[in-house]
Amino acid sequence: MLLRIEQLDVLYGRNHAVKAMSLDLDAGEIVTVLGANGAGKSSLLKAIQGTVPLARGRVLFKGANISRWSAARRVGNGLVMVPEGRQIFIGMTVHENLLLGAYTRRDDTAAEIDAIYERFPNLAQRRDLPASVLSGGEQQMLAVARALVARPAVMMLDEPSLGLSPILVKQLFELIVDLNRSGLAILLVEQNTNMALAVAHRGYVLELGRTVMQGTPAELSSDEQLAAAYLGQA
Amino acid sequence: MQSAQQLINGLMLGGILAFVAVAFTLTIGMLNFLNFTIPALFMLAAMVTWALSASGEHIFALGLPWYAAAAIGIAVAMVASLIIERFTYRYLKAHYGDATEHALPLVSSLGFLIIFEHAVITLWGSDPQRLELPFRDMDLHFAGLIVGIPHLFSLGLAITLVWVLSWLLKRSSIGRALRAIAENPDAATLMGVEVARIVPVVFLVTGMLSALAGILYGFSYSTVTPYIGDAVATDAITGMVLGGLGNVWGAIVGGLLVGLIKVFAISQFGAEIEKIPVWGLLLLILIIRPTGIFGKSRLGRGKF
Ligand SMILES: Nc1ncnc2c1ncn2[C@@H]1O[C@H](COP(=O)(O)OP(=O)(O)OP(=O)(O)O)[C@@H](O)[C@H]1O
Ligand SMILES: [Mg+2]
Repeated sequence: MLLRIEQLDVLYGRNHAVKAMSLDLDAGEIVTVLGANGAGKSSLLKAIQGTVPLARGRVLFKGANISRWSAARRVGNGLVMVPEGRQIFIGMTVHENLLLGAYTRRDDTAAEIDAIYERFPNLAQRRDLPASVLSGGEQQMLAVARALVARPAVMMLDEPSLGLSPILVKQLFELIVDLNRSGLAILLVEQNTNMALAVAHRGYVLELGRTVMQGTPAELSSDEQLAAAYLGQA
Repeated sequence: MQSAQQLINGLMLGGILAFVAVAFTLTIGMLNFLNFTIPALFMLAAMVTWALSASGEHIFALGLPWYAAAAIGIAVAMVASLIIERFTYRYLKAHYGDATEHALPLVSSLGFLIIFEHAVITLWGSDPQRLELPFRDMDLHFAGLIVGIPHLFSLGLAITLVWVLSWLLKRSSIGRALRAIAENPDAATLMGVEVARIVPVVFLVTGMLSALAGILYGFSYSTVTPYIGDAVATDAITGMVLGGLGNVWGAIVGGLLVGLIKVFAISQFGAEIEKIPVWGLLLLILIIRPTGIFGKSRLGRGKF
């Protein structure tokens, strides 16, 4: 198992955001975590990344217990997150954003960054412009590209489709599938349930911090409760 | 001729103020933190340099050569700056999440300023002390004007150091990491930047800049007291605000302008007026152009 979460709790003071969450992500998989606003999806990813503390539970990555590692160390070892709201550095150029993605890399990343520019011609054109000039879709591409330069083993994406037009959402999910085919394991948090279930191998549904359902996309989408709550087919 | 000499004197004082203004602007720009221990480090380094190099009855009167004393003075200030980071910025960040959203680091750095001042007074008393450079009499004379060597050296060094700093911030990996922290510390962490390990670098650099400025001030004016930090603090802060918060080149220009204004005001209206033009200027900028001469519209962030 590439990434294993065991009985994980996240507490903000008395606010119990994630309750006894267990989750597995195997090499080559796309696993999605679904849930309404405030269900605890971002808190789960942040706890896995190490940017919020675990109240209980363990995070195992490549067989090692990384629960006490700093977030930065996790990045250096291949556990990388594309955060909610993109969080690109708008005061820096597109290229500088990519170089920051390569921050933990000790080897030469120039060839990989060139390959990224080939994949994202829009970014290549704006290479030396401040990232603030990018459109929402381009910013999301930059956030993904920046995470790719870190050469992740697991990429976690927090609501990447938020605020994108239907065409861009489609492109984004094609990219996700593409990256997965080339060997990247992906943990995908989404509110766009249809799209997420279309690309994922397995999924979990969170409600107020608790896992209420898990299974294959077919199992999840045939469930009436879920359909009623998230798929708009009540 | 008189005013040409004033111009030179003003620029020379400004060179020292520029150093301190750069130190202030770095912690503001990077950490959004007005670090009031900077004038304390300025004074500490100058006093340590005096104590170690002078011979006499005082504690640590080792009679060291001036360069050895200065090197130790700088080292002491840098270590002190790390201790300050540990107990102001880092401690408060650990306890309250974002240290920059609180006035607490500001207040605790004021506390450090006073403690350092009084520690120095306890050790060496509050009398002014003479700090002499061996080649002090080698001032440059040309066309009837006098240019002090330490003054000239400090101006050149300030410009060189800022040039190196801004190059490092732009081009090096650690410089990019620092700018990333300045813009968005959480996102910087997600890039694998160990924020807690990089922030002390800012304090080391500000400690070094403040110490260099203090020592150069001491050599330039031949006198040090435990109070020299207070005098320089408001001038340097005015210089920083003039240049735009977080803008290192702005701080250089701002520091030089304040030096000029001070020297001209004193020569025109006498020493009693000294504080009015600088404070007046500070208030005026804050009212008409709070982003400073070179600042962009957003205060404090992403200016490198
Ligand atoms: N920093 C914080 N401090 C206190 N409470 C928080 C914090 N972050 C999140 N919470 C709370 O934890 C709960 C889960 O929030 P979280 O952001 O993980 O939800 P989410 O599923 O990502 O929601 P969304 O879909 O809106 O992004 C919410 O009740 C939220 O108010
Ligand atoms: Mg969220």
